Amino acid sequence: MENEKETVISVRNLNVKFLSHGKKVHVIRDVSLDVYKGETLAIVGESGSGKSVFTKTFTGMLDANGYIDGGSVIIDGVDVSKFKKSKEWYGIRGKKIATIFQDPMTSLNPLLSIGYQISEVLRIHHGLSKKEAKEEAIKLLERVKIPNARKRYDDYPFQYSGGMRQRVVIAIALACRPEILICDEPTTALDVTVQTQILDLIKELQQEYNWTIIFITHDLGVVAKVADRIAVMYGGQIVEVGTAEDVFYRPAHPYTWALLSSLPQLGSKEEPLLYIKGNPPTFGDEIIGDAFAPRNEYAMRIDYILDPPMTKISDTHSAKTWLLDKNAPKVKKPSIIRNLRERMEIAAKELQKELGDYYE
Amino acid sequence: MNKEPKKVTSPKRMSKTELEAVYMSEHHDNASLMNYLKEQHDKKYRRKKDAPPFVEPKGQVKNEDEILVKLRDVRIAFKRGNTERVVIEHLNLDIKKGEILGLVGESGSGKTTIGRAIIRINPVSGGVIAYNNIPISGKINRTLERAIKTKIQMVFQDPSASLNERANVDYIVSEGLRAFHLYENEEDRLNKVTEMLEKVGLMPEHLKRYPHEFSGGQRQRIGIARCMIMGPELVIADEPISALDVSIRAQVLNLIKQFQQENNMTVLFIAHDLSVVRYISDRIAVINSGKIVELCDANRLFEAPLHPYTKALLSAVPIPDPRIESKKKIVVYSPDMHHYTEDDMPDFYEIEPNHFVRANKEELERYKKDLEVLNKYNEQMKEELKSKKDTKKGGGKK
Amino acid sequence: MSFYLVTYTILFLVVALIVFIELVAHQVIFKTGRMQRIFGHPLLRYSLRRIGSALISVLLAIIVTFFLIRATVDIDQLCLTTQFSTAFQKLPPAVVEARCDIFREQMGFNGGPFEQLMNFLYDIMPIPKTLCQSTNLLVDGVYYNSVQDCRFFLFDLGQIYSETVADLTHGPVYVIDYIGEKMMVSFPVGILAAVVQIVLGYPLGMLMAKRKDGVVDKIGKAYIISIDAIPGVAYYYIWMSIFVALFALPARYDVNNFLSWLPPVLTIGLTGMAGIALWVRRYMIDEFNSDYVKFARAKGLTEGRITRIHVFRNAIVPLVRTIPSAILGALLGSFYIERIYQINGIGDMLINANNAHDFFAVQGIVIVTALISIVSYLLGDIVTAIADPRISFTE
Repeated sequence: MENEKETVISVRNLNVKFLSHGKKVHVIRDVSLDVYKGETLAIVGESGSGKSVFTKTFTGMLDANGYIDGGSVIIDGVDVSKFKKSKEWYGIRGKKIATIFQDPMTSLNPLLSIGYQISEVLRIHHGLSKKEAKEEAIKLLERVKIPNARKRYDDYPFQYSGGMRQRVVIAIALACRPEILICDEPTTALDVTVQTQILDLIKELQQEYNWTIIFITHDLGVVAKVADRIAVMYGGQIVEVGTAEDVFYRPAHPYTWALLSSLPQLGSKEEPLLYIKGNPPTFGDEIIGDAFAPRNEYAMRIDYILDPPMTKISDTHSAKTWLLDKNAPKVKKPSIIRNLRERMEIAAKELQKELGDYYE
Repeated sequence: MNKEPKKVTSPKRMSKTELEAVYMSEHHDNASLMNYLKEQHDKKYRRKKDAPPFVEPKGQVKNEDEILVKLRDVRIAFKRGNTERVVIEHLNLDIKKGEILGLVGESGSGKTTIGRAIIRINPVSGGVIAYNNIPISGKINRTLERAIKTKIQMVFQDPSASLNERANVDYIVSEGLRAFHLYENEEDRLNKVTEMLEKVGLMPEHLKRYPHEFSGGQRQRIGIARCMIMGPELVIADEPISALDVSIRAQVLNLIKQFQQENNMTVLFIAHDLSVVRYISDRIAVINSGKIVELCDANRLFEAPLHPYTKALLSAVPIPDPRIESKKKIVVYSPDMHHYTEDDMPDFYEIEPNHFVRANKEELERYKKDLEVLNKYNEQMKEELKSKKDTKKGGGKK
Repeated sequence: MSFYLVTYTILFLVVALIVFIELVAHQVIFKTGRMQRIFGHPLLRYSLRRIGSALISVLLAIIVTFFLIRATVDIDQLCLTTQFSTAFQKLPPAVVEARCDIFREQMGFNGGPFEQLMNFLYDIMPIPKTLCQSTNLLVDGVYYNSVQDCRFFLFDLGQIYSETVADLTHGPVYVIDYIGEKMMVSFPVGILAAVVQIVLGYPLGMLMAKRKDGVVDKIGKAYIISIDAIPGVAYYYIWMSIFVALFALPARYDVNNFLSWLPPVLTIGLTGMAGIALWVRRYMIDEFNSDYVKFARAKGLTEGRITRIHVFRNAIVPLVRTIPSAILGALLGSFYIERIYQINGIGDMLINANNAHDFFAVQGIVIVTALISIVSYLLGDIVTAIADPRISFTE
């Protein structure tokens, strides 16, 4: 099974640093990851975990003061981490990889019509004439379910609601005809009901166009909905990676445990919600040993001294924690994680009255 | 220096205790409030022939003594040139003393507008908002306005936008103390601020730092400290966790709940996500395009949601479980679902004790049947759970 | 007679057009179809309303100027100094009084303040009229007004009476004509200077923004700071000495010698360019950091296209407002520059008129300046509204 998967992006020992006020800040620390064709990989982490920075290296969109300091990002057999000029990126950005950003309110140019912003891509990437581009753009707008697409072609972004704008952004991504789509928190700024619609649309389009999707989010609810595979990031490292089932049903890293148990969906009125104590490391803090150790209830002495290795649990699942070391003491997962599935079912049953029949 | 204190006249110079005295001297009861409304009604129809008779608008809480804030027949509209956009109309809502009321709806539903109207940021163009039966909407005298300001505080959605970037934490948190002379001397003020910072989980050494040096969650905690240091009776929390990471949300929710319990505060918690509100609130009001469609005790709302919009909101909450999530069916709400006609207009009905739903007569019948089915279903589920627990206990560890 | 016919027809047509546009906009006539689309266009109505309110502001400005000038001018003193040669100022009071009565009437100082204002407004309103002015004839040290000079007017701003402002030997000189004449002197230099500012300022700002902290940016910043730091007048003289001493360009302006145009044009152009470059750079940097530029980059657009189509366009929207005022401002010239290079333009005229207390000339310049600044403000708003789709023309 494992060998049949085709790797589209292969990251090895990637390090990214930022120059900030003359100091070098280590933001991505020795990350390796493979992205397989046709899958949806979710990268989960708090703000400041480096998840956005990490994916920006795939398209060369690091901020001006950021640079890659060792490691490789191989896309289609080319190591893009060695790219120097912006020209070199033109074959990848918008052609092979398209990106959708968090805030649909600001990702569209406010002074250009919706139609122009879509047909621009079609004309430039696919050499369509103005007229052809317009027809094609209207088709795309209809594809992302914008009502009255022909009429709204000449509208400006400010005439659209947030959800509609995100649909336009997706239509632009569609116009790029990419193989890989990076979704950088595409629904964080939207209402829950709109969020569901947008996620469904993305999933639907993925099946139609066989996209590989890299989905960046901090919301595990969203992850459960979309992801085939999950990479959990903390302090500039991937601390756990596995299939959705692995991470949700057999989480191995204490940080994943903490993330799962702090979901408000699981709270009951009687007890206070669980949460992760302390604060995530900010850029600029020097990290020795395990970045999560200061907030980790299960931290051992070694966690403060040595960075734990990535330990393989199964073919698809590995985690970066000393708890998996053969010398580590056996720890009991927090109770909330042990009966997570049960809690979920209760929560689900409460939220989805009509769905009573869907459960065995 | 230590002569007799001058007599203070300007409300701006009055301290909280003085303001409190003014506030206490305002005596009102429900009857006078209704009179106030009737006057408003008469004024509106003074020159018109077929004026409708005045009907006393009613809230949802029967016991008068329990109510802290009353919104009666509230109308909020934004004027832009000659056009007027009505956001809220004929809104009746009660907030009980010491409760957390969740107000849930999508963006554009008017939920934030209501919160801002209570704290007098948005002007009310009709009806009345009353605090302990004292009208606090429209034109009120300046002393009362200031007195009310000490009692109602707000926590904002975006912690980075609502904190003054150029002021340090000490200044931000103690601004309200200075404005209302709530401290005796500099030492006392510093103590109060430090104590509050520790309560929200920040360090005393953070006092001299500026907002941009903090993470989103910490900034929201500064926002909460700024609000709580005033010892408010009512807190309006306007989506205080929407802009935060999921992992930090729990902390902030706990913090708000902890403050509420310690000080017996009343909280109006505005959110767009039902799953969040459930944990924190005692009652939940679901609002859709300016109308409250369902209002109920928090747990009961999850047990027996009746209005299709409530169901849609519930089904949209993502469940962090891939297997369940893949099978989940989404309920879609559209206003066309209702068949409201001229002679069968919707109203707000109490379908069971303390459970209100917006419906017309036809729908009301249907909802009543739904309620029976749901009750049965819930009982069945409870039993199932019980038996599961029993077998688990009996079987020991897996 | 035909003058009257033509002007009244034109005035009538303008009023009719305004009424027509309002009717279409309110959907009283032509509810749908092409006429509605053209004449009911919100931009048209918006412009009309703005012109209407602009005219009201001009009127107010004129009334204020009118009273200010009345308050500062001592008409009897003025009569003595301008109507009698120095030697004859001690003539019998009756003669002086009689002469001054006529002078007062000429100057519009007869009657109460309200009557004066009404007369004045009638003169400057765009109503066709024939006004007769008299020319001064010097007989025995007293100027007599004898020659009647009747003329058709649309606007009348009065007559120049001071010889230091204009040459009066060939008959009366009307302020409105004289200002027009002087504008034609100021305009070529001013417009060239505006073009130089724009042509140099915008690209410089663009280059600086594109390579932020690069060499161009650093040099440009140094230039902008130095222009900002040194007071304008000092800077003009520095430029002048550079042009004249270093490049041996003529220091005195002469219409027929193009080389002599260069110093004033470049002095204004190079100084004004700094301000434009500063704002272009600032707005462009803001736009470069915006989310939609990142998204445009992610779409795979080339850097050149992003800069041209997305960044530059958006960055200049707040700046296009200044373009009409730059062009119209050229009509008025720059007082300092006209002094320094001895250009006989509006600036020069204002200084002369002020020194000679020729209040019709001063009043005329003030009114024209007010009109121009209000019109350019109005045009700026309209241009911005066209450039930025977010601005709605309705209330």
